[in-house]
Amino acid sequence: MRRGMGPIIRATLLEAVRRREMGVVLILMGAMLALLLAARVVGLERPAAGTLLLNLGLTLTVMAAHLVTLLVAARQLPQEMEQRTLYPLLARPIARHVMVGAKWAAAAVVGTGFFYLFVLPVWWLVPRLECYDSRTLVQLLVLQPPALMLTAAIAILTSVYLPRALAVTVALLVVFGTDYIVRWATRWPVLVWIPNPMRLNLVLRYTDGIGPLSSVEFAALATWTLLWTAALLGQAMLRFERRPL
Amino acid sequence: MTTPRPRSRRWWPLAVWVAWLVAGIGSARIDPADYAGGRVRDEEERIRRNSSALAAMLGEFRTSISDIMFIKTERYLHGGVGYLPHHSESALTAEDLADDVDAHQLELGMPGDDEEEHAGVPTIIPPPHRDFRGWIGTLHREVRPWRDPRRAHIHTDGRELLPWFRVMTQVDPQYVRGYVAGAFWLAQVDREAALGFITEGLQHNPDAFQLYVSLGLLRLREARAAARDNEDGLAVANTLWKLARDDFRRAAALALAQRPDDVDDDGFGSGGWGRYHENDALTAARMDYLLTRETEGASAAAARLERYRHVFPELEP
Amino acid sequence: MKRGRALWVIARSVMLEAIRRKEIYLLVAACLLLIGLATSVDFFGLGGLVKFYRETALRLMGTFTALAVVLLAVRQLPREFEQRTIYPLLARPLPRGLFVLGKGLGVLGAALFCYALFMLIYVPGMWYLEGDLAWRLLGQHIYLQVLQMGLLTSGAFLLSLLFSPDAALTLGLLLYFASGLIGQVALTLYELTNAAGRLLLYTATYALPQFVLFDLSGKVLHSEIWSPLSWPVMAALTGYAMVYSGLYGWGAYALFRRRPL
Repeated sequence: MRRGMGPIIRATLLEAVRRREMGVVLILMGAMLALLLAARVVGLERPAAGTLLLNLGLTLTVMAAHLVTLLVAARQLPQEMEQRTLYPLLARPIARHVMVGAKWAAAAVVGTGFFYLFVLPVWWLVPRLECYDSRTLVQLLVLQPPALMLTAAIAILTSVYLPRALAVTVALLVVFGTDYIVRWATRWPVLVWIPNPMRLNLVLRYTDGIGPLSSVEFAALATWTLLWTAALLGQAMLRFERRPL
Repeated sequence: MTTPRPRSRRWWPLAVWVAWLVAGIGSARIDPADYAGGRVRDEEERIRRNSSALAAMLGEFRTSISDIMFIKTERYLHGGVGYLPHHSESALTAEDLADDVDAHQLELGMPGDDEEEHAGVPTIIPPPHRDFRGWIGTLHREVRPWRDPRRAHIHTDGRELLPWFRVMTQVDPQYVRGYVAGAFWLAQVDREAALGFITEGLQHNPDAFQLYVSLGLLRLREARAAARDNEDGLAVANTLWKLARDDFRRAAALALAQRPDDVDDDGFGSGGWGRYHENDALTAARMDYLLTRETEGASAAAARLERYRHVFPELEP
Repeated sequence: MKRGRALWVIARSVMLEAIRRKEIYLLVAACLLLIGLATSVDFFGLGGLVKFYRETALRLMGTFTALAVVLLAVRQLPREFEQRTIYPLLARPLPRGLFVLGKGLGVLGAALFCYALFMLIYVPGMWYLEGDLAWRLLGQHIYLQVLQMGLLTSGAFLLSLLFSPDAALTLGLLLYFASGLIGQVALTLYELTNAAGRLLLYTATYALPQFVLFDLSGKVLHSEIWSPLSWPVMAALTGYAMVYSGLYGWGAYALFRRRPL
């Protein structure tokens, strides 16, 4: 870890936990858990309904984790500039790109923590009535942190180019929309150059009862994600270094 | 206040662009969703899941794109009215789908017709006596397409469903059912395009025997039309019969290779083999036998029948 | 008269600011890009398939307008405190209620501008595809969308004073998108729960905004089957939107007035 990153990550994590957004995200997740409980009340008279619920619960958990990561990442740099807390930070011997890296890391850590915290209650609440491959589940759980890192990089990048609200909107469209758009608009191959964190979402593969990715596929997917993250985060760092404050 | 970039990091922009380029190229090749089969694409599983109380509670809300789009096609077929799934499981095979949809075709151009068919199937938005919301429920039924469930369904022509089958199979090329159902509707307006659509499905799913059954059925329709419409129709029809026979033969070979040994009397077996797989496999074998008899003679047909009867003893000469 | 002028000045400034900033145009551009992608798909070379375009366009237009409304609305009132522009305002004899109303009308005006831009594309698109515009149903749909924008604006104002802007944005959009699902869950659970649960569901149904009541796109889509809504139904929907917008707006005003400077 580069010098000076640690305190920034710690401060960002503390702030993320204390801010009211976290409360609201918890309310959202509470609403999701309430939906799962409502489903239990309605009853799962068929194994297929159990799979539908498992898919729904896991998908919403993944999406909520990406949403949290995105919201936390997108506000970091604009907020520092708006509240003028950036200047004392930069007065220290911390390079700007280190600060961008620290903010990105903190957002990814918040999202990852959130994901693991909530995937367990979902797992506990939803009965598994059909056969699923637990190795696919392990891959699903392992691939989410890199996916969240990519989402954090997307949000950080949009936040250094666009006004805050618009940055959140564009990041939301990219994170949650690219997968559909790219598959839909096959006539436009150029769209593959839009990042797609949802490609690491193995929930459907898991609830479909399909086996795990091969080790080559798994490694390729992880490397692909790291490349995307490096490209986007690198661009954000370059932009932030050249940006007048 | 901008900071000049240190010498040691001058290579960063180039590295970023290279990473972007390579990552984009990788996007076109790495796809964990690129697998055949799966519960979400299984029609019997879909019927079971969509007729559950949970699915009724979720209304149109789904996370799977093929589920969303199939629900969409049902809505279009019923003029926008949301019903709980009601097509019977017998309508799941490539052959029976044709019969089921043919039944709908009888009502072409008769929106709002008061036929008795399907009357009594519950709507997603409940009728007044089952709705606790009072006037909010009344307004909801006025604003959204809604019809008293005691009345027969509205059936629109299937032409406007076609874009959804196109998008459905583009988003998920492994979704065999999308090709089967889409090709059927497409054949109502353009048989050539329907054949092309099935062929596209086979490029993505070369082992999907249901697609060969669909292809054979389409060619049979084509042959019927040729025999009826053209002067030299019988010659064209003969060629098409042979092509259809080859399609059914291929379908039967694939089906028998995929069919597990433990299929029970209801048509269910291990590895996700269900009744509609069994029915399509049986159709393929039966049609291969019949078309072989027409095109190659009785002894060749008897040899085919012999080959199939150890799996399907119900096949009779 | 003076109050009317003040209202106009506040609304106009919100509207002009929204129109001059990049957000609305970027949203319109993103929406048009998606509509363009949708129409770029070749449907087997067949012509005259308008329902797919109609549905995609109407849904995207509604979604992006809602996005614009919530984006604009959630930052209007908290920003007055953050940027300390509330002080010169308080120096004038301007009631805070009028100020909140002016801001709301400004957001509504900007949303109408956004929707009008969409319509400038939708109508020629339908004409190009030789589809029936279904004028009467479409007119009713647009009117109901305007009512919905008003409801969404007042709801977003209320949320923005209860939560931080990001949180208000998330909650506002969640309520908008999940309105149908929440209603469906309530309908199912009502049959299964006890008296206390039923009371809770009944209260939630009447407390939360029912955005699904303002979406006539299903009937516009299948306009060959469905007739336009009757006047009493339109009047009832107008009344619903007015009452609920008024209640949420009043809540926002009460919080705005009591907020410490």
